[in-house]
Amino acid sequence: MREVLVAGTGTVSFGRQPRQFADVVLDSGLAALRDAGLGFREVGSVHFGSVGAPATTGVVAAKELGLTGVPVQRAENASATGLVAFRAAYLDVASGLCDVALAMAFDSFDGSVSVPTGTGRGTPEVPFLPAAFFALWARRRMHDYGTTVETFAGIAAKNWNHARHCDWAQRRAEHEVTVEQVLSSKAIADPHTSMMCCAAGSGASVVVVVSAEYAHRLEPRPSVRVLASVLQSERYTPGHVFLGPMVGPSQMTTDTALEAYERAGVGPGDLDLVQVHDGFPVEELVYYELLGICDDGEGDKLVAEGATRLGGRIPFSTDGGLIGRGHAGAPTGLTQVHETVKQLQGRAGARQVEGARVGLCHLVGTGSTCAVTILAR
Amino acid sequence: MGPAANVDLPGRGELYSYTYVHVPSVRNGLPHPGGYGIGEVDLQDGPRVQTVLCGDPDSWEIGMTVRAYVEVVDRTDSEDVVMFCFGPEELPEHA
Repeated sequence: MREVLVAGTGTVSFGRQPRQFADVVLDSGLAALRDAGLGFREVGSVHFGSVGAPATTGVVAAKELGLTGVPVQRAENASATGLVAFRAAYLDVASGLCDVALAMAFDSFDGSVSVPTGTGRGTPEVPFLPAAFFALWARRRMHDYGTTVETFAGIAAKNWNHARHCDWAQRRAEHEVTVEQVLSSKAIADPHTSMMCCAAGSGASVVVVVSAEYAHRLEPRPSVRVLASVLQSERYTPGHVFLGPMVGPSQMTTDTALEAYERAGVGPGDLDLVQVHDGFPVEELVYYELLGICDDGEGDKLVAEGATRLGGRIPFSTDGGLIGRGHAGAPTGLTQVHETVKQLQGRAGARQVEGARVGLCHLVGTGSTCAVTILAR
Repeated sequence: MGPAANVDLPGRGELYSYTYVHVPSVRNGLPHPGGYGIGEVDLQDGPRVQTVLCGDPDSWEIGMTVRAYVEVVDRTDSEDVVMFCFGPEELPEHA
């Protein structure tokens, strides 16, 4: 496998879109190509990620950027979709298939952007609200480890406050968000309140990856390397629920992260910042432990110490995460990459993690799958 | 590994986790007033299943024994539409 670098990224603001489908995919695509300093005719493969868009949307989206005969493929694994498209683009370059590959992603969970073709939404059948499914995790966590609702609210408030400094975040609170505010928002599914639930919106994000050989031709030369991009699906463990769960056993995150660490040649102690599938605060809390940032049951302590906020030892969800920046389906994963690249380049502004060298992006997707990507400069 | 076969599952188990959903459910395409409980139950010597919960939400506790009930969720002229749910051993008045 060849070394692969990220040459450019682009994203539109998350939330309701006043513009058409063609405009949002074109804007994010052109932004990424401009950032990379190359044209669409250089692109040797396109992987288009979307959860809810109808069939053929990937081809329609790529056509907005050009009609070059480039192979275009749809990637979809629910919430993990963005990183799955990214992995496919990475593999095409790493394997030597092409020198430049594009990962694109689009979704419109709020329905503000209609897609010009197709009919079905094709979303997986999930009987429970996500807020209720993860409430089962939260309630069990409280029972097993004595976790308090204040800890959940603390993680949510942190991510809301990270989003206050992010241009592309969907939720940008005017004032500092407090734990009390999160707890007093509308009850959704105990112990979840509305401010603990991720924001569903629309978005579009694109990432360009190139081979090291190709990177020499670019000015400035890309500096962010892809150390690993890994995908796994769930495997059987005792207590496995076969029908209904949104995501499978939490062991899936541990297994996927271990493979990613092994391939990347780094460990959790080498990470400077992390993006996770923080659909609900209990998720971020357990991922601290499952990704090996701390020992089992020690996650609550990290929250109490402020270790995972900006300025802390290991900041999580630096652009606000799914709770603050928002969750638009497929674009979520590529926006994690966008944020991580900005951080590693030292271009993250008020959110900058000092001296950031290694960042990890993690998503889980209904079905279920887990995707982990590790980037470094 | 033997061949696959149908098995009868016990109607009792232990409540593994639960929540009360404050967002109204939808029945017959119309919002049904009020919230509802859901949970996961470890069936005795069986798998863990997801289920709707019945009974008083204040009576639900992790680890408690729950049993299956059949609840009528809709009636047409000719038939009842039913679903299973789990709740405490004793329900004051089964709704």
